[in-house]
Amino acid sequence: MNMKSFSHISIRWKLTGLIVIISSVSLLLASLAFITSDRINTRQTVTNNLATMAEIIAANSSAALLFGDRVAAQETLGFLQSQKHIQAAAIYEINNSVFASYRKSGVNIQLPEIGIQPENTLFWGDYVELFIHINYEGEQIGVVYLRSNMQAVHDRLIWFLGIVVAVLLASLLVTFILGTRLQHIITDPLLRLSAIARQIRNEKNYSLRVTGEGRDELGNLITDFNTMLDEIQSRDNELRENRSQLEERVMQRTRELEIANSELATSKEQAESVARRMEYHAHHDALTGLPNRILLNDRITTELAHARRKQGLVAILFLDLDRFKIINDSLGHAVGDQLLRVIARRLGNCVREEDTVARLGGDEFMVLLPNINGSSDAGRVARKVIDCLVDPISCHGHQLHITTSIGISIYPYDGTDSETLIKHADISMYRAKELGRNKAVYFTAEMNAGSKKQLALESSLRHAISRNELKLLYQPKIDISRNTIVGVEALLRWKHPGMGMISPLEFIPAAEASGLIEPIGEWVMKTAFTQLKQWHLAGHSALTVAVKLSSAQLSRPGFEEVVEKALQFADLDASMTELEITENVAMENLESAIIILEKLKNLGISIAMDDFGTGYSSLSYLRRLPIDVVKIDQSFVREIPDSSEDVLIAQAIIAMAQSLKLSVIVEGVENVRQLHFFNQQGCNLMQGFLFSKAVEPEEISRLLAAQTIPGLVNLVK
Amino acid sequence: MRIFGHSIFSGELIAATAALLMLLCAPVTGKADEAQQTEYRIKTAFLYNFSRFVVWPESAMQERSEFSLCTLGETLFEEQLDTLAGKTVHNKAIVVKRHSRPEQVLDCHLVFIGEQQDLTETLWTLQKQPVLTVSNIAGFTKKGGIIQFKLIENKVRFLINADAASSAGLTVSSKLLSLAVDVTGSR
Repeated sequence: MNMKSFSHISIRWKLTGLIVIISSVSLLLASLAFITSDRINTRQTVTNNLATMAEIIAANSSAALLFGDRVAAQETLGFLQSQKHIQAAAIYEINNSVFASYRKSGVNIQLPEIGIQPENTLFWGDYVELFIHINYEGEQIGVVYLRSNMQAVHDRLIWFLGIVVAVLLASLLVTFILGTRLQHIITDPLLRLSAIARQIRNEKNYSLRVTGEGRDELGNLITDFNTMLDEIQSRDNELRENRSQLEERVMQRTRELEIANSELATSKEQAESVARRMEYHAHHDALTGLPNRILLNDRITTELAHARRKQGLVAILFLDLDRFKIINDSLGHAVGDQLLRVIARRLGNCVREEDTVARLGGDEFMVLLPNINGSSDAGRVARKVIDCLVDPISCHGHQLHITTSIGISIYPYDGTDSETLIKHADISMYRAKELGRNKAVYFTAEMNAGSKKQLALESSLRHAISRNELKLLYQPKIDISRNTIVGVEALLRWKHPGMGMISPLEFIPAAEASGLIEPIGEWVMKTAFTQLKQWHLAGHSALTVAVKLSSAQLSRPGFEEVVEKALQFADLDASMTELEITENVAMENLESAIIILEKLKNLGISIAMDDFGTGYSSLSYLRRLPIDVVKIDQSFVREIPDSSEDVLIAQAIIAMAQSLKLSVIVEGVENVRQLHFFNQQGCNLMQGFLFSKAVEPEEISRLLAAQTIPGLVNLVK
Repeated sequence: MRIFGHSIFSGELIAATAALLMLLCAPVTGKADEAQQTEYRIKTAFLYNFSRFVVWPESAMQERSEFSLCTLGETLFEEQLDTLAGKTVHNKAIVVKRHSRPEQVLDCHLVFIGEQQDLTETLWTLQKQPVLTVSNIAGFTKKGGIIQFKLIENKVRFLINADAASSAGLTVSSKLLSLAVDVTGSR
């Protein structure tokens, strides 16, 4: 049956159909069971009857068999004529020959030829055969054979089938009639429900109700349905009422609001303009009109949040005008204020629209640079700011030259909150002032970490020279082609009474910051030159000495005079000395560095570029520097010859130095393989632990006296 | 014919009976001797079967250890009777005896009475004795004998005097009675 089409049939026919099907199936099953059982019983009965008949024949024919009385035997079979279903019968002697037989009239049946026949019942579909033994006093004397048709069984079956069909038909009719009558009990309430639901849907009339009572599930369903309708109806009414009330109220409110609005409009405008003015004053500097610290903080916070989301960069430039105080004090506040106004205007003009220039008070300004692409952008802006102030400012008849020192801090490298960033920009600004003003300086972590320790170091360092805590060690510089010490590099050491040995990397920045670099630098040159003079006097007149310079020394005007004085102090030929600068020191202020280095070179001093290749300066810049010597930094030497990359770099540096006609010194040579590598590259001048570490001057004297480095003879082929 | 003799001796009674019945079907031909022999073989089997369909009183069975099958006087039975010796009837071995005087057969269960015997004396002697009397003599049952052979259409048949049997204390099976050509007395 197709379930889909079944689903379209009305529920009342479904119910009737179900009742009829169920009753038919159960009746059919019961009939089947009954017929089967009856068939088995009937067959058993037929068999039993047949067996009984055969037993009688056997009993009655035993004597006839024994006395060979065929007539008597035939007589015993005579009664079978009254048994319609017996088709044939026979009495067999023990030798299997027929002794007496019976055939139903009109039936032509061949009697079976029997062998040694066991007692048996054989069913052959429409007839049954039975064999039983004739015994007398325990001995078998013959066999009785009976054959009966199964007509009785068949007749009975047909009769039963007829009954079953009749009963089935009758019951079908009865269940169908009953079903169609009884299904109304269930379907009528459902149909009523369905009809009312449809009517409500069509008419939207919630006052309709379903009639009907009863305590069963259907009765409950109708009651619940009606209750639900009650609810819906009351809600519907309520809703309608509410809607009309609401509409009225809205109209009333609208009218009220219109009136209030017109009243408010005038007073509101006044209030707003006052508020705007007040807000402006709260957030802006009265003198210059620039945003003040409050507004700036607000904007920094906003931009930081923005940058945090977009992973962008934000730079803060901290500006402090150089020597403003002097102008203000000497020319008066009016001039100072005028100057500040002009500067504020210029600052505003040299930054982007989105940048914020703020005045923090006094001569301090701050520029907020959101959305920069890299740290260098901040430097570029700082340079532009410095350039903006280059032109002199006319003010009350004065031509005023004003410069500024700028500290730069960048989010997120130098801090992630506005307070830290401002603090770090401030520190960098002071650093710029230390470095000679009119500069911009990026914040570095060392500035912060050093700031506290630096104060302590500075105070100790002040006494280091007078207390004789500084000393120089010397590392020999070997010419491996001649196997001799051709020079020494002077290396500064400070033995602090409380803190022990302090690295130059640590105390040189402190010395530079405090200005102590000048006396220390002077001491170093004097000491080193004097020591070299002593070795010259001792007979090693070809020996040279190299001294490192710091950037502070190099940027100081008239530094060459200091060097000259030291040479004179030691009575030393300038050509015996070498001054080492680092790439970064040279690049920090390239123009002034070139001027000073030129002057030094004119004195006859040799200039060496230390840690060559570690910076990022381009070759064209390097070419402008008056360099004589390139030192290959030990950071490249360390992995040679195992690192192919370092091998390539070293080869490139050597090739470049050769093309510029510079001599090459290899630093940090630690093993023979490195020695052989650079020897093959044509480098003869080397320093490093393979030969000697930095040692006391007495040790150098001893090595010079020996005229060789121990073991070196064996190393150099 | 040989089958008959041999099978008797082999003790296969069923086969013997079957063979006997076959003989009965065959027409009696040839010499008078041969016919007579056949007749007496059948009668021997009948004697044996009679004893199986008759029940003797307890007294006649318990006291004796054997079943005595006897002849009285001259009979035409030859060695055929001896073939029954050793068979069992009512759980007793058959013993064949030949007597000439009526008082000698009082101990017998069954006695075949020769045709030359004085019937009156013999029956008087055996009166009320549990002895099954059988004979060829015409009118035997009428004179008080129990079973009388009679040839009808060349077939061996028999008559029974039921009263004589019951007065002798013997119970004759109804099956045997139903086979009798004539039964004298009430059953």
